[in-house]
Amino acid sequence: MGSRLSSTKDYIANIYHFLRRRTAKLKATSTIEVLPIELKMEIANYLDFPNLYRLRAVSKSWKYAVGNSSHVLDFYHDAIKYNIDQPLVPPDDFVAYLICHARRERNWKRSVAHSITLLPCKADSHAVLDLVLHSDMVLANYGRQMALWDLASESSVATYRTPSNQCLRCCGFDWRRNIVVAGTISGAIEFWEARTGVHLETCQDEPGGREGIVSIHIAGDNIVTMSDKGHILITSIDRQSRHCLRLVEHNHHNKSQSELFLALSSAFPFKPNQVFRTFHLFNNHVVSVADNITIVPLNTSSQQPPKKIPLLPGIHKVVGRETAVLLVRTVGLDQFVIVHLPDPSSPNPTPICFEHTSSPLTDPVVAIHPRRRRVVAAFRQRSDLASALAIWDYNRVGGSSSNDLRVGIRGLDHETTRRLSFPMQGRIVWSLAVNDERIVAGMSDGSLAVVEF
Amino acid sequence: MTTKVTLTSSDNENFSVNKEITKRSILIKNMLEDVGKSDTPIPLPNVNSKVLRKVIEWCEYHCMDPLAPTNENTENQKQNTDIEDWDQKFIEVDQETLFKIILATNYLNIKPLLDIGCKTITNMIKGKSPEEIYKTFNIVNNFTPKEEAQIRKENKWAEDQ
Repeated sequence: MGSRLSSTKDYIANIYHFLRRRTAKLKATSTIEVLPIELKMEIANYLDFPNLYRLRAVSKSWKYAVGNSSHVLDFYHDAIKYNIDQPLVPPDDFVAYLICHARRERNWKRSVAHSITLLPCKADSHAVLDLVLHSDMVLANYGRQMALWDLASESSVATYRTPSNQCLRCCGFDWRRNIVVAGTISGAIEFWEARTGVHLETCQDEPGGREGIVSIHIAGDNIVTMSDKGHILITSIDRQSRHCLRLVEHNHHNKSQSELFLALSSAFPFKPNQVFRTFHLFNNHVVSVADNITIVPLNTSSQQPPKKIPLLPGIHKVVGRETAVLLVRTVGLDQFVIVHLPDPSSPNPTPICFEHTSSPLTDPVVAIHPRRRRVVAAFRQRSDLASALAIWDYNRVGGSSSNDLRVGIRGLDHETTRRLSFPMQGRIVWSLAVNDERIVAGMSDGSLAVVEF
Repeated sequence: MTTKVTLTSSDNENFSVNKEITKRSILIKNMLEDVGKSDTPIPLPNVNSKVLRKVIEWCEYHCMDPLAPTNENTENQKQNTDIEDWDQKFIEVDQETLFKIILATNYLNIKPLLDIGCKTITNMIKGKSPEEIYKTFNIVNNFTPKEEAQIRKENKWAEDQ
């Protein structure tokens, strides 16, 4: 009976909508609906976003006109150009994405979290040492094992363990290739199948052997690793033809920096060459940062010599990286530099410009999101064992020409810091990653805090 | 010496207009160039006499404007919906006439007048909720209930403070 009633209801509703559309068509002879779609698009071009949102709720033709107005299409093509993480939708539905995006931006600006989720620990109370965030997937490195999480469903996809039980320093994954890699403290590269967590093999080639791997990156068909002695090793990803392709050595410690390092090391318990060498991939070049910035072509046949760009004295560590932008922290001095990398393939690369700024925080964990010009930092407040997040937006300063890309974290002070309440009592943040949608923080007890906007 | 051109509206009324003035319309301008010297009236089957009179009135007032406005500032002007005083008064007509003027200028290809028409409609839409837009233009939404619910939901995110 109930189902019959509801089907009658549906039937009446359908008739109603049929008649309503019919009358709309009849009435349309003398209303705005006589205007052809290209004129409606022309009208939509004059409107700003809040008005466009409302206009698209008026009728099907207006929804189409808004979705295809040059205004929205500009955004759409920008989105394609900058390859946003979002799966791309047709322009008509792209407005819905823009709406969602606008809401997120507003929440970011106000530092209001849409939701904070705590994903439970995967290992036996090991801190999350390293995080790799890509779209909805996050790979967490717990030291002795790793786990891949799907943040959309808040479930773990797979867990990765080493047969040798060696400590994993750094990690990377490629979902399309179904591969997860990690560099160990003894210089081996471990391979797993991403979807199942099955360990594939341990790869330890002699050239870079026995030097702990501090940084790992999947680049096309290759895996690029850097040892704590500064060797860059490029290994083919293909199991059959795996071989070491190239070994780049550059070890250049001059005396003054060694002295500075000694001075610092008395205050900070770091070993030489241990954690400060870290690298970044950009346009098929390896950019390594230690006491200076070195750009080395990844292409094995290239005879281009490495380009070196000096940094101010100090021991530097890359704390945030994204295409062409690095956030470098001077260890111990708590100074930050945002570095815009020049195009390495151009014959005369524009000089790298940067700006030093001191941080109001001591010993923060920092991540950068250059496309949104945003820096997120988590405080490790050991005294009260609690964590807080701070968000800054930095701006380009100086000229707008590409030769003058001076970037500084102007907002990096107490006044403009937006703080996000982060109720994670008893836990401190060990690692941090940020993208358009969220901040992911790896906590000291092995849990992951996901802040969505 | 000014030559006259005769335009015939859809209801067979003839309008004798200065040739220079008719050149505001790219359609007529191209037509005259194609036809060359000829006294035959130009038929405009898409435009009635009432609308054509309005359009000619606008063209006569604006006959001194430069023919091809520079398009350099189009980016800045994109969002600007200000209309000059005379044009504002000119376009104060009932909706039906307004739509017919827009359709006629679109057909005749008179870009500046088309812009004024579009801007006028834009100003009528600005700041209005979908319900108010239905009322203003006397239209009915043609979404299915499911589509409507989806759009409402999406828009709620945008409006949600």
